[in-house]
Amino acid sequence: MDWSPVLITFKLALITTLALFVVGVPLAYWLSYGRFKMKPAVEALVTMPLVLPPSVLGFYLLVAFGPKYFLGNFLNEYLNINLLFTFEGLIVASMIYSLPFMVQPIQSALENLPKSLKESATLFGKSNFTTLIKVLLPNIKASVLTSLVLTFTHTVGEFGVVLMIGGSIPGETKLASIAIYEEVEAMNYGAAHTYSFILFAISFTILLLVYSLNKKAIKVI
Amino acid sequence: MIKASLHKELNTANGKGALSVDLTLQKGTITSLYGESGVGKTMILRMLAGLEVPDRGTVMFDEDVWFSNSRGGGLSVDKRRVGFVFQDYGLFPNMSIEENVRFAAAKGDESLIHYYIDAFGLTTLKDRKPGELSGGQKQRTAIARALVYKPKVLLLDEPFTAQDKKRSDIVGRQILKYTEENDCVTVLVTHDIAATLKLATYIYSIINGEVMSEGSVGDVFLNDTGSKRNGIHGVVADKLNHDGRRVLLVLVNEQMLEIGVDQAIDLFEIGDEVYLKLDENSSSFRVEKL
Repeated sequence: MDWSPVLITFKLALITTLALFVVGVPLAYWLSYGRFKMKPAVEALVTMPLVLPPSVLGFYLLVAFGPKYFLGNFLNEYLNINLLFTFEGLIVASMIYSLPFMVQPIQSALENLPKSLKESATLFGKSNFTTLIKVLLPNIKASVLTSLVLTFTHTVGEFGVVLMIGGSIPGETKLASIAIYEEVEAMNYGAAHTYSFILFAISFTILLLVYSLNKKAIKVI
Repeated sequence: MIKASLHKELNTANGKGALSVDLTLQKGTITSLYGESGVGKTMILRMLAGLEVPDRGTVMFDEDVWFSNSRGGGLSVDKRRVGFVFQDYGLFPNMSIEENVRFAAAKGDESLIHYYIDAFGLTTLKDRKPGELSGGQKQRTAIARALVYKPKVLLLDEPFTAQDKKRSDIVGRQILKYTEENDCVTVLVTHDIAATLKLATYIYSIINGEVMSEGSVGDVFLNDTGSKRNGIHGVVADKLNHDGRRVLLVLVNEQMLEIGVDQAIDLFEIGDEVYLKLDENSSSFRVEKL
């Protein structure tokens, strides 16, 4: 039994979740409180991965990260970064793919907080960062937990996007979901079952823990 | 002193309307914005604080421009040093009472924090979260927090609604004391005519988004035959008895005042001429037939 696909899967999920938290919270804050003309367009873009077939997203990322086009060429030429068929590429693709799972619950929770909370903190001369850390996030803990768990479990379950961006390089980009697919193709149902059961059991345990800790935590988007 | 000229289109529960007021708010005194619900009083406070932007107008604090659509720019909300007590209190649910008050205080203001917590009868509750408090306790916490901030301008949106008479008096005295000692511009939005009469030096009576009358208590509420000492002369327009609360609607100098009374209201008939006499000790009215 090769454990590397499972380890890579959870490493990817953990890094993606942490990185998206850092990016997603300011983005959710900006979408909740910002007043700008392009807001509907930004919101639509953030939500796109929810409705787009993963293969479509994977295809465009494959093209964008490729050396023939501007982004891939720029990253390759000037920063010596290659995002195709690398673990780093999987992280970037996973962050884009799971973006709405991190942003939407937090944005929705911020918008549902009474306006007077943020206004009070601002009136007392506090910066946006202090207000976010000391007032806003502590009062939407359940939604933050929802975002973290949804992002983590959604990344664990990725298939289409990661297959197109990362391929299936053992020990590098071969995730558990891809390993399951390959084992089934090779008619190794026993190995496929082992990988499947591990993903099933860990995902279920995480959700069970979260539900037990906070019944309000999981809200369907 | 604040000089403000505020104009804004409103979408209220009563439909669309326009708010257009010119205000002069003196330091060291309490100014009351008096009027029925939905006339735009809260919006005026929000525009003074910078939480809403007027369609046009100016807000000047002494020589400082806080807002001017003609000159452009202005002072951001966090730089105005405004204490605002919201109708929904705006307390932070994740913090205890003491932490809420401390949030607004400057470093080293420990004694001030404890002074207001004590003065507002919150000492035994200081470790509780807002969700564990009554409306009156939350309201006092919000006022204590605003005072601890040592604001240059104090804006109070219905600060007595959840208080009993005794607490209302204590809170009122603390607000007046702070205002006078710190030369603060304090603006009180209230339906509570008794609180207005006891605390306010100047009154703006607002109807349909405009200042209908302004001046001292005498100018606004007392007609030629009345004086504050003898009582306010008025005519009973209606009497209500709902939820155990007895209310007389009294027409005073073209304004309808809603007066909660402890007396039996059956003694009064619509059309009776009455004097409203303010009880200095309890912030309530006694109504006497002429």
